[in-house]
Amino acid sequence: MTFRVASKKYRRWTQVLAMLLVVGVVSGCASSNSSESLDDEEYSVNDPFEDINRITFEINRTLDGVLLGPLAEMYVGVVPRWGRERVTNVLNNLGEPVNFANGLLQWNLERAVTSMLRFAFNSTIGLGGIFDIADGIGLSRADEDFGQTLAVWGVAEGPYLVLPLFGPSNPRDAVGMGVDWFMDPFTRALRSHEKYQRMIARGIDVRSRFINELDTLEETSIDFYAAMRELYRQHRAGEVRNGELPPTLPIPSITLEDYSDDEFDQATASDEIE
Amino acid sequence: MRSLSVLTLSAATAGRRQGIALLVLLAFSFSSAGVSARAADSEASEFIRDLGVRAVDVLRDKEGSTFAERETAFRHILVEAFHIRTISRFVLGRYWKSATKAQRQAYNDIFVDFIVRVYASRFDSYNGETFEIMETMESDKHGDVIVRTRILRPSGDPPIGVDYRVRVIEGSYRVVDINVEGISMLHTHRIEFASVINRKGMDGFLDELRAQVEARK
Repeated sequence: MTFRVASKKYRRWTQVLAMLLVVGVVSGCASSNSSESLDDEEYSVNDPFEDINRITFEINRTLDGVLLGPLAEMYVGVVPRWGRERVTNVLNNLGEPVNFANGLLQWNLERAVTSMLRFAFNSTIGLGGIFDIADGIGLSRADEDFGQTLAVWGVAEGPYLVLPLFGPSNPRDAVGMGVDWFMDPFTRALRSHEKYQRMIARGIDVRSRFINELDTLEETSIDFYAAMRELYRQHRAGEVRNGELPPTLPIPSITLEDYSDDEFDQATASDEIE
Repeated sequence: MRSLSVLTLSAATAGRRQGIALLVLLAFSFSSAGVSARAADSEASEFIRDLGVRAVDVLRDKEGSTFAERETAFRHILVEAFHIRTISRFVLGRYWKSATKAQRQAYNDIFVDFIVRVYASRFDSYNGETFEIMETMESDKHGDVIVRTRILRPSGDPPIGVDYRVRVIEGSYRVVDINVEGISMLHTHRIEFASVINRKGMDGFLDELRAQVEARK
């Protein structure tokens, strides 16, 4: 690729990025309307496209039920744990350049350097990433993607979106996914069918590690869609914080007002009212 | 706050050697405050350790017990260690106010069953995991203590971070929220419940809860 083409492509991306930053900031403002009482505060679920999201969610679920799920289960049934761990490691290792770039963009040098060293160690001594020897010497994975980078730059997540095939997302993370795809050196290095193979492998790899969790969640939730939406949002927020303690969400103590017509425990209630 | 009042008192009465007296008092009041805070923290983490040990004891005994027995044991632990009233009221949120007496009654009746069902089956995939307590932290809200723990998996998969939010209610420690890998269980249920109530109304929601409990009997 010549420099000219590259710079052209780059310019276009900067434009797209600038536009998205504006969109993100605007939607951030729109969603941050203050609510009157504590009870309402945590309901600010930004999901204006819920109807279409639910449809996409069901389509994804069907696809998962007939395709990805069975593939993942077959994979778990055929390949022993040791082999699956090697696959995870190799795929993880291919993701390190993107982790590094995003660590840098977030100006989180510690995590950027960690990703760089991990890639260097695991690609060489770790035999192309088959063995995660870096983890053994205290360099544990620092997952960073462009969605997180945008978050660190202050871009709001925007409305919840369920993407076909890719599942739970939002404008910020969807853009992040695209940018990651373009900044990933392996996207350029691999031939097109290899790219798709890598993507499919990643899909099966990730899905196979969550078979039980997803089954149990689906079984035990009364609204699987809403549960997934909330899990996705909190999970992403956690990734942006890099595992730091989340800000304490309000869980108010029960007040007298709540007791006054409360049938929980009549004795305690009447005591406290008097 | 307390150390400040001690300080002003000492400044007023210390006289000529006030410098030394101040220093001593200062050191004393700070260290005592430090100790009491740490004592509360270690009590909270002791409470969580005890809770964890009891839960693992129940879950470990898979050969000697049926799922129903484990669930019953699990329910005892849950009701004792968690403040169900705070949790159930909070999870229903603003819909509590608009619910009728009968609906509230029905909700209270079913909520514990629902929570026990959900978590008993989520935890019953137990397979030799151990846990360790990492640290305790003061929360900035309601004087709660956050006890951070990790679940270590024998398979070698990465550990799972579980934070317990502990509050002193009526003189004893009670869990008011569990945070798994940064995901608050209470807030997740709250959003889920709200979504169902929005679409199906309060009675429809109660039916869903009941169906969930029944389905797993």
